[in-house]
Amino acid sequence: MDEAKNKMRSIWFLIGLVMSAMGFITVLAGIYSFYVPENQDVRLSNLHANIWWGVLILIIGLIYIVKNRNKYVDH
Amino acid sequence: MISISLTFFDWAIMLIYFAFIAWIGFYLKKFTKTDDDFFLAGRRNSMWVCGIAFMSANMGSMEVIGYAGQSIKYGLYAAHFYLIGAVPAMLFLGVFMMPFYYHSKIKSIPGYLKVRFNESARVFNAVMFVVNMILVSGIALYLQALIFHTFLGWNWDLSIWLSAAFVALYVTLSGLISAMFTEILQFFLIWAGIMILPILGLVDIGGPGEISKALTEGFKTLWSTSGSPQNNPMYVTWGGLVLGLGFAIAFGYWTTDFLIIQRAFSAKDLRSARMTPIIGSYFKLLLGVIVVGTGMIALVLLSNPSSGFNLLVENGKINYDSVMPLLMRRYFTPGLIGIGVTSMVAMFMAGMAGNMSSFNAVWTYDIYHSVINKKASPKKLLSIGRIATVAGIILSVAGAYIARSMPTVIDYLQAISSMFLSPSVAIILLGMFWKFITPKGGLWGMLVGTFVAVALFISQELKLISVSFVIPDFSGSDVQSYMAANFWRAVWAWLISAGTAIVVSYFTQNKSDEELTGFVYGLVDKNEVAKEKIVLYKKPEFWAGITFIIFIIINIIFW
Repeated sequence: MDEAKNKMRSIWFLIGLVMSAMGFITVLAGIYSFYVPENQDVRLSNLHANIWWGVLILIIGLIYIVKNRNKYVDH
Repeated sequence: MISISLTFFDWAIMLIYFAFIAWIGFYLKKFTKTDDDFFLAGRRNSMWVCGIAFMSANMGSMEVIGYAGQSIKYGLYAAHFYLIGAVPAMLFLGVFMMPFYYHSKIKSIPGYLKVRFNESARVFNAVMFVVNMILVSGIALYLQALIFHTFLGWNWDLSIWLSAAFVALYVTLSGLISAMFTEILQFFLIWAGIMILPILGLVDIGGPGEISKALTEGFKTLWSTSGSPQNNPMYVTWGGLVLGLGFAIAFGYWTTDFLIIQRAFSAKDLRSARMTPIIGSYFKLLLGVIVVGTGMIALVLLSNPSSGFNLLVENGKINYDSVMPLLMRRYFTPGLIGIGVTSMVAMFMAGMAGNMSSFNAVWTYDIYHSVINKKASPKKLLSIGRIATVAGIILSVAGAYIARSMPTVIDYLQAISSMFLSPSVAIILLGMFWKFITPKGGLWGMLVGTFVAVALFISQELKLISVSFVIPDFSGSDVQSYMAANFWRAVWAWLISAGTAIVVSYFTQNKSDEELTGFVYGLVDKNEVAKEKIVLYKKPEFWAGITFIIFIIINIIFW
């Protein structure tokens, strides 16, 4: 564990964390606007792109987390 | 002003982004102990880290938001900036030039000019680079604040100072390594923010077939209308595209601009360094599809009055850069707005961090260590690098305020900055591939080429000479031929630099073969090259070949 503290976390793991968080919030926003539609001016809002695009970002983020969770870089 | 309103979810996404980039500077500081760590990220990075950071440093707001706007003006001709204006030069850098750069263990491009030519060539190039970087960085900062002010209604001063402060924080703390880490995050964010635009756009207009139906031939082909300047929206011929954009400008930017090449220098080995621009070339092609595709979709919407889509008009002037933010407002729902706006912030920060991390390296090694304090210790260089970052950012902010007070200056400065690179590439290419070029030849070639390029531009702007003086196949008005003039001016600057270097070299003394070994083609340490015996699919040449085939196919399909 101490050894891990002195090594740098893989950048891909950190990217995974950020992308997952952003994807998750986008999905939440999509679910919220599904039930409480706010802006009717937005074209193609019936496609609910924030839900499926958010899911895609979340999945990519999770893949990066899982694949790189134990990776550290010597520096 | 048009406003894009942000919801709680959008703000939350932006907050995560800012929190991460602030944290990463502190996290990486403990791994930044030496000047090599700070300026070259310890030379330990994989080809993917370098390749993505290389591309991200190129993906500033000018490259993405700016070229989407250029697609409205020039149609598919804007794609040349991603094709002949990028791919051949990127592949040439990876396949032929990188071994010389990497093996010479230099820390910057001016550093190569020192080992190949002399100290004067290095200092001249370094000063040009530093001045150019501050100008470009100031203008980028101004444009970014303009976007935030126009589309989000944010306070102008706050936008500038807040963005600059975050870049200063993470680049000052950890140098290139944190710049590269954040560039990789920014790379992912930019794709997440812009890739969905053409997807929704195509659904909106009814599919790709509609683009072909709505546009005239000049707007939807790459080469078939380049026989005469009158036939295409860029008023340029194939000669101007190939020699000016494809050779003088593209090679100047992709093979000698330290801003992007610095990422390759941080690679852990030669193969990773060579693969850096080759990996970048794949992403560059994809970026072209997304950016130009978005612009073409906007063109279709603009051609149909019932679409309700119009560009922003300010003081009677069309704002072409408004395409991408306006399409985001048209299609993006809560959450996506957050991703889209964050991607625009990321574009700016990636560009700014790239400017600053290359600026601090050139200032510290090629000006401070070379001219001001030759005996500086590595620890001293590290602290000078940090001070240079803060000073560079303050100068950029000052540049942004100057640009704000003189908005017309922006076009000129962009054109001038592209001219600085053309004489550099002429001298670096000649010096790298021809041992005949002497140190004095290299220096005078750069000096005369830069002087002529700037003099031509100023004379043209002051109406002392006509644009037809610069463009051999001139046709159309001065305004219409603005881009063609940029291409041809770069060609003349290249030729005059090269010609001067050759003539001066004929009369001056050269370095010995021993002094040039490792820095000139044909004088390479064979043992080092022979070490690399790897399977075909791991060879940089293999992947460069595939990109080149894709590049040819795209040009044929859209001929």
